[in-house]
Amino acid sequence: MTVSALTRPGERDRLIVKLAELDWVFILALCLIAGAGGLMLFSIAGSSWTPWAINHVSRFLICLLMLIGLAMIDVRVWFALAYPIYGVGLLLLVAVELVGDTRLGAQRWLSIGGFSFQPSEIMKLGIVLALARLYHGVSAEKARLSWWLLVPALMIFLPVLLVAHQPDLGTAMLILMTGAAIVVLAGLSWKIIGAAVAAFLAIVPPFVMFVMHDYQRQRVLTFLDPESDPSGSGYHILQSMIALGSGGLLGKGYGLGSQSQLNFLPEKQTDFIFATLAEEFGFVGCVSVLILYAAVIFMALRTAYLSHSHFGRLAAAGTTATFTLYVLINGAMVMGLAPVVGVPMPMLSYGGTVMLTVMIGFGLVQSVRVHRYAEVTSGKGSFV
Amino acid sequence: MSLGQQTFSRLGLPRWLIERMWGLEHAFERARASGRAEDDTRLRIFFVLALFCLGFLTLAIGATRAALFSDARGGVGGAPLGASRADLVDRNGRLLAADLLHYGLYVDPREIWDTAETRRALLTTLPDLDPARLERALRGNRRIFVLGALTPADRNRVHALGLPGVTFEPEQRRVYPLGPTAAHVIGFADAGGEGVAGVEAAFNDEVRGLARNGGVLPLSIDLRVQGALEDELWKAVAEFKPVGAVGLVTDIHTGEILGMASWPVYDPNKPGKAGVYAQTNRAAATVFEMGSTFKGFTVAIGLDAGIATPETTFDAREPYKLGYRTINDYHAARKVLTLVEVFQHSSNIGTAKLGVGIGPERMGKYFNGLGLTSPAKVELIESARPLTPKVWNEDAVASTSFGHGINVSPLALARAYGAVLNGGKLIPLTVRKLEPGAKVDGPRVMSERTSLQMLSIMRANVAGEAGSGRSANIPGLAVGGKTGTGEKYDPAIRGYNHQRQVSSFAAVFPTHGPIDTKRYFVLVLLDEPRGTAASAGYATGGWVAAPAAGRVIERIAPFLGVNRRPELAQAIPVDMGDVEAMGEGR
Repeated sequence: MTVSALTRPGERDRLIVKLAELDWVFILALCLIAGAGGLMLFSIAGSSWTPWAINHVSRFLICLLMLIGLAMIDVRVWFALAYPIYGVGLLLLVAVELVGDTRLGAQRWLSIGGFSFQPSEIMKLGIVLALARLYHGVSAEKARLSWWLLVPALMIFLPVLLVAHQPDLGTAMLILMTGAAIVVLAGLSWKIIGAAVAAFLAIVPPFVMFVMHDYQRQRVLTFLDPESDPSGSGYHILQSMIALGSGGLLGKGYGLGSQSQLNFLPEKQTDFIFATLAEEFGFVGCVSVLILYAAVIFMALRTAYLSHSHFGRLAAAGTTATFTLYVLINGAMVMGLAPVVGVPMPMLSYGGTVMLTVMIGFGLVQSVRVHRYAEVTSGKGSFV
Repeated sequence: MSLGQQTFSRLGLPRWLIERMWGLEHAFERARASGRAEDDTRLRIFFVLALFCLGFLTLAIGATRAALFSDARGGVGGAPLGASRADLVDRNGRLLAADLLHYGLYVDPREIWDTAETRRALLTTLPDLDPARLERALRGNRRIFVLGALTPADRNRVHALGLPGVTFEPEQRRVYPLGPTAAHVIGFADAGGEGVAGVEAAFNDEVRGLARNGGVLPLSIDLRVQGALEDELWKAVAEFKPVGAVGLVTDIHTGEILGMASWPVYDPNKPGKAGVYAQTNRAAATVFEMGSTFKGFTVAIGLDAGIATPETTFDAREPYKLGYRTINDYHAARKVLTLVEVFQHSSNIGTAKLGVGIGPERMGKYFNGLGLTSPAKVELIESARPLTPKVWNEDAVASTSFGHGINVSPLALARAYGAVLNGGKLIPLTVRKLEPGAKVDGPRVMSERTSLQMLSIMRANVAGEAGSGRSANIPGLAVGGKTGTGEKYDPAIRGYNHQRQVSSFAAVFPTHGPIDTKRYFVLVLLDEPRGTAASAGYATGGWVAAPAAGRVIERIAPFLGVNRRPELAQAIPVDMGDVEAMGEGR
C-alpha cells in the first residue's frame, strides 16, 4: 500500500487499515515484557504453570485482544467519554467512602454483584482523559498562568484526596503525579513548576513526621536506614538487595535463585519480581528488561508527539506517564532507592488489576496513534 | 515509515543528529511565535522524556551498584548462612526452640567426574533432594547450593559415598523439638536466622543478642497449661469440626499469656509445608465479631457508669425497635429481666437497651479504655487491628453492646476481660515471663467494685440453674463465665449467616476471694463449629465451647496452684450481699 492511498477520504476508517496502523513493534515489546514475567512466575513457582504463570499469560493475552479492540475505537469517542469516565470514577470513589468494604485495614474495595474492584483504578485512566479533554482547545496563555488553572487543580485534588483518605497513599501519589505531568505537558509556566518543586521538597519532611500513618512513616524511615529494622520493614529491602547482589553479572541461572526459590524474598511474585529476575538473570537480564520498558515508553511518547489533536497528544502522554511512574517507582523500590510502597512492576508482576489498567491505557495510546490525523473539534457543549 | 528512521539509515548518524537539533531549535521558535499550546506541548514531551531518561539512568546505576558492587552476596553460592539465635524456654525452663548445627549441600559440576553416578547416589541417599533442582545445578558451571538443613548423620552418609565435587558448609538451623506444640506462640525463624512469626519475630533482635552471651529467653507460657489447653481444644475441634479454633489462658493480674493455641496447627520445623491459613495465629491475627461475650463489657460499663445496678430491670417482652431495625432475643424470655438475668439469658434486647442507656459517647470512651478499639497490646507482631464502628451512634452502640458490628482479636477480648475482672486496670498482655511477684500497673478504666460485681455475675451465670455457662461448672473451682455466639457476616448473602457462627466461652476462675486473689482468664473459641447429636444439634457457645473450657480449667488448676474448695462444690445461688452493701455507700 502506498502512502498516497491513505490520503483517500475514508481509507483510514477501514478496519484493515487501522490494524496495519497499530504500532506492532510496540506490541511486540509488551509481549516480551509479559513473557519475561511469565517466565519468572514459572520459575518461582518451582517450574510450575500454577499458580501464577498460567494466569499471568492468559490474562495478558485477553488484555492484548482488548488493547487491539480499544485501539480501533475512534479517538473522538474517547474524547466524548472523557468526562463521563472521570465522573463515574469520582462517584465510585465517593461510594467507596460511604459503603466500601474494608479489607486489610484499608477501605478501597467496592463490591457490585459479587465482583469487587478498586475505583481508584478507574481514576487513573479518568484523570488522564478528563484533563486532556479539559486542555483541548484552551489557549496557551490560559494554560501557562491564570486563575483558570484552579479548574485542573480541583480536578486532580478531588480524587487524590478521596483515594488518600482510604488510605491508599501509593495510588493517590500516582494520580497526583500523573495529573501534574499533564498540567506540565499542557504548558504550565516554568516559574510555577519551579516553585512547586521547591515547595514539595520543603513539605516532605514535616509530612512524613506528622501526617502519615505509623506504618507509612515506618516504611519511609526504614528506607533511609534498612539495617535499623532488618526483620520488620527493612526486611523487604535487605532481602531484595541480597537477591540483586547475589545475581551478579549473569545471574545464578534460570530456576536457581535461592532468595526467591527458598522464600526469603517477600512478595516475590508481585512487587519484588524484579529482584527475582535480577537474581536469576543477573545484571544483564535486569538491564535488558529496563531497556524494553524504556523502549515502550519512548514509542508511546512518540505516538503522543505524532498526534495531530491536542487531546490525543495529552491523553497518550499522560497514560505513558502513569506507566513510567509505575516502572520507576517499583524499580527504585526494588533497588533500595525508594521506600517500599506496594507499587507493582507493570506487565511483569503478577496481578490482574494493574495489568488491566495499563493495557486499557495502552489501548488509548494506540487509538491515538491509529487516529492521529483525526480532527477533534473543540467539543464545547457537545458529546460526540 | 517514520522520517527519522529513513534519514537515519540513508544519511548516517551525524547528519541525523544535526537535523534533529535544528528541528528542536526551530520548534522552540515556532512555539514562541505561534502562541499555540499544541506546539509547546510537543516540546514539553521532550522535556518529560528527558526526565524519564534520567529516572531510567538512576535505575541503571542502582542496578549496577546492587548487582556488581554490593557486598550483599548472601553467603557462598548464594545460600544465606544462618545467624545464631538464643534458646527459647517456657516459664519453667523447658526447651521450646534451639539452634543446631546443620549442613548445606553444595555441588560443583566442574569437579564431578561421573555426573550420572553423582545424580543417582545423591538422589537415593537424600530423599528430600529435588531432582529438578539437582539437575539444573549439575548442568551449571559453578559451585552452587542445592539442599539445606542436612543433619550430621545425613552429611556422614553423603561423605561415605566419596563423591568429588559434592561439599558442605555448616549452617545454623533452628529446631523446635516439640513440633506443633505452642507453634503459634513460638513462631519460626527462616533459614537465614531471621524471625518470621510469633516470639521469634517479636523478639528477633533480642534473641540474636542473647545468643552472643549464651542467654535464654523465658516465655510466659507454661507447657503444662499449654498441653492441657491444646489437648482439650483439639478434642473440641474433632467433635465439632470448626474451620478454626482458639484457646487462651492468661493471668489477669500480670497479663502473662500462660497458654495460647490456634487451630489448624503447623510444624514450625517445616513452616513451608503448611499454608498461610495454618500458620495464622488466630488468637492474635484474626478478628471476630465475638457476640455475647461482649455483654460482659456492656454490663460492666453499665454498672461502672452508674446506669444500672444488678437489680435494675429491663423489659424484654417485646422485640426492641431501634431506628430501622428490630432487635430480637435468641431464646426470647418474654418477661421483665433484672440485669443479672439479662446476662444469664444473654438477652440482646436487655443489653441493647442498657447500651442505649449508657449512650454512644460514654460507650465509645469505655471501649477505647478497655483497649477494644486498638490492636491488643502484646509483643507479637501478629496482633490485629480491630474493625470498629466508624461513628459511635445509637445504632453502633446497640450492635456492639452484644458483640456485633465490632471485630476484635481473641487477645483483645482477653485483655479487656482482664481489665474488667482484675480490679479495673487495663494492662498489656505479654508472652515473656515476668519476675515472680512482679506488679503490673495500667490505667484505671473501672472501679474495683465493678470488678467484684462482675465476678459474682459471671459466677452466677455458671453456677445458676438458668445460667448459660453451667456446663463449665467445675465443682470447687468457682468458675465464672459468659457464653458467646456471634453470627458471621457473609459477603455472599450480604448479611449475617445464621448457619455460620463464632462460638466461644470466656471464663474466669476462681471468682471468690478479695480483688487481688490470683485469677486466670480462659477463652475457648470455635470458628464455624457444627452441631452434633451430643450437642442436640446446637453449635452455640454454651454447647460447644463451655464444656471444653470447663475441662481445661479442671486440668490446669493444679498447675496454677488453685486448690479446690469443697465448700464451693455446690452450685450456689447468687449472693450479691456484700457487693450490694458496698453499692449502698455510693
